[in-house]
Amino acid sequence: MTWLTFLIVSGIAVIFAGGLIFSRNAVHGAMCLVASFCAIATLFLLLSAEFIFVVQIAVYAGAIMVLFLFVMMLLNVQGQEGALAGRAPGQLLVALALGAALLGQAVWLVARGGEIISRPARIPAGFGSPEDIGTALFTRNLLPFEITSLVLLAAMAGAVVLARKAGLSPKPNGAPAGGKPE
Amino acid sequence: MTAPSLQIITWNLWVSAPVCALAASAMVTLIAGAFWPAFARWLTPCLALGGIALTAAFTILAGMLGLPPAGMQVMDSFTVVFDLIILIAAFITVLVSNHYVTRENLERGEYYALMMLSASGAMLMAASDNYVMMFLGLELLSIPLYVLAGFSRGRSESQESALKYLLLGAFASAFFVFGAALVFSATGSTNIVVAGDATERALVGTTPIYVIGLAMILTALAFKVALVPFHMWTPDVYQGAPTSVTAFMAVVAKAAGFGALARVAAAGPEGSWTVLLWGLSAATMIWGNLLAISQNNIKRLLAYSSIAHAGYLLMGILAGGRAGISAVLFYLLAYAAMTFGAFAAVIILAGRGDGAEDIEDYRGIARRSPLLGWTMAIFMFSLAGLPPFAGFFGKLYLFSAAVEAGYPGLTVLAVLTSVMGVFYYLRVTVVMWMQEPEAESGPAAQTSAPLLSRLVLSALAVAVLALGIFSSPVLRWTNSGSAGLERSAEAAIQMTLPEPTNAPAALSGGSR
Repeated sequence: MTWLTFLIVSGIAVIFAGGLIFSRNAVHGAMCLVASFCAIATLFLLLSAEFIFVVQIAVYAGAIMVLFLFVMMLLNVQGQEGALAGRAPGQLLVALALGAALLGQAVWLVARGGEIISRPARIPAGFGSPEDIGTALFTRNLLPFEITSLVLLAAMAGAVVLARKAGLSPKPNGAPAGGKPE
Repeated sequence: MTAPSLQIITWNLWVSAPVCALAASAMVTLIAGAFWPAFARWLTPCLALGGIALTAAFTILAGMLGLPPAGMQVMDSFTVVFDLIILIAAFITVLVSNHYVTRENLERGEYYALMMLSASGAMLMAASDNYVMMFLGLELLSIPLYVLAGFSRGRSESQESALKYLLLGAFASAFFVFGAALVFSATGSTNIVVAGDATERALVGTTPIYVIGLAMILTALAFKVALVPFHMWTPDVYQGAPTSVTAFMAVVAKAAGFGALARVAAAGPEGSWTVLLWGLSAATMIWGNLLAISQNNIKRLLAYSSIAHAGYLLMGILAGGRAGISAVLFYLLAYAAMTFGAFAAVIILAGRGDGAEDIEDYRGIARRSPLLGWTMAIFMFSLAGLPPFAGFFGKLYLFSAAVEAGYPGLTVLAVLTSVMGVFYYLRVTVVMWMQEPEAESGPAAQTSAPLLSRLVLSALAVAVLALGIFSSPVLRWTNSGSAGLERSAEAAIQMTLPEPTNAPAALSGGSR
């Protein structure tokens, strides 16, 4: 039963991920991404990780997608459909061939090594409960958790640098002429 | 419940003291640049230099304490040696950047802060014995680099460089995460050594998944250090990024990738791993050197040269063991000195707005400025691997380690491709020394530079020479690093780490 649910839900996730890649319309792509996120959230539910399920829905399918849509509205990507579609001839073929090669190798390795698929994972009781996640996050993984804040700081400082208009900074020596493109 | 977790925290604080010190200095630099913009011109580089020196002191101190692995990070002598190499590189970057940043009007407090954050990511990567930590290190290294590549906002090449690097780098990071997830699902552990060990003990049926995961992680790291066929981004990104950032990228990002590769290789993945590394190394040496020959832009030439050097460095990882890793560390140090030297010269020669970047623009420069002529010649000879410079001894140690480890074929290939390298490196020197300057052809190369740049240039040239002549004490130092790497790999196997209790452990036998 779980197995069947897993197959269906992961199938949905893969299909919508494909839709995201192949849709020419950015908003359609974003909607496909929402569906894919929701399917993945359901996978967490199958692992009885309710907390991560809620977080996945609220943060990814909710907050981040709203940001995506805002950016699309502001940039008006809608107007330039297919602007990103220009690709080198044969690119799709090469990509498909390489992807197929990767998939083939993986399947071959697993088929040769055997067994892994048929062995169901044992999920310990209480797996994925908020308590469990909190313990993992703040004891064993405390250091990575803290390092994440450094990564965020770097990203934030970088975003500010890139978003600031050249010449508007209060620097006395930041001559606006230096930063202007031709 | 409270007591053991507290203990973990005190452990971590010392093990990660160097990274914390560098990150804290980066924040101080960031704040200082924001609050006193009037003094930013000299205040931020000074703070950066001070922070890097402080971090070096913390690294040496933490290294002397002899700390046990903290389950995420290790502070062994490999970490110490590696961190010091990164810190030296960051220090030189600040010195080299100063002239460039002033000339190109890139002076913003964030420049140095981002660079330091990136360096702390590089230190994390080499110090991590866990894939989770290594991934965070990779991101902390890369995200500031994406921004720095696009730092000169007026130039469209810089923007192109940043975007290319961001898109491809994010793609590579995704490979790393997917690979780490597969390794975890196959072994029930994200610890590099424990995961490697669990497979060796042939837990039935999970080895293929582990191998796929490891191959994906290798892909991501190969991208970061620019191994063929994951090198496509390198010339464009190196050419477009501000030159001082390119130098930082060429040395620190590459070193970080090799530090991580050394950690993964020390866990002892056998079999197909060596075949993969052999192939990557051979392809990188041949392709990098071949393409470098036809380059006319000096930054592109140095990009392809850095690809070729990644191939040589990979030989050391492939050889492994004490000699191999030690040779890698020595070569990284030598490579840092000569690469920074070459880029420092390029920064001066290019002139305002990076006008003169073609090799042809350098005609007869040596007559006008003997200092530039001589130092550039030293860096080019060293990059080509001619004695008595650092590059020669670096290659010597790498090649002999590879021969001892039983890869004579690869070594012959490496020697042959080095000879190819001599051609294009000498071409630069020949143009500078032997050709007459043409009166009106393109933008003329500049020779004037502030005193600091000239001092740095001379110091780097001396360093390249000194690393060659006094290579044995340095090699002893790097030897201590590789011994530390071996020891902590053994210790991790012996130690029963309090590893995943709540993993979806298909393999309850895996986490002993």
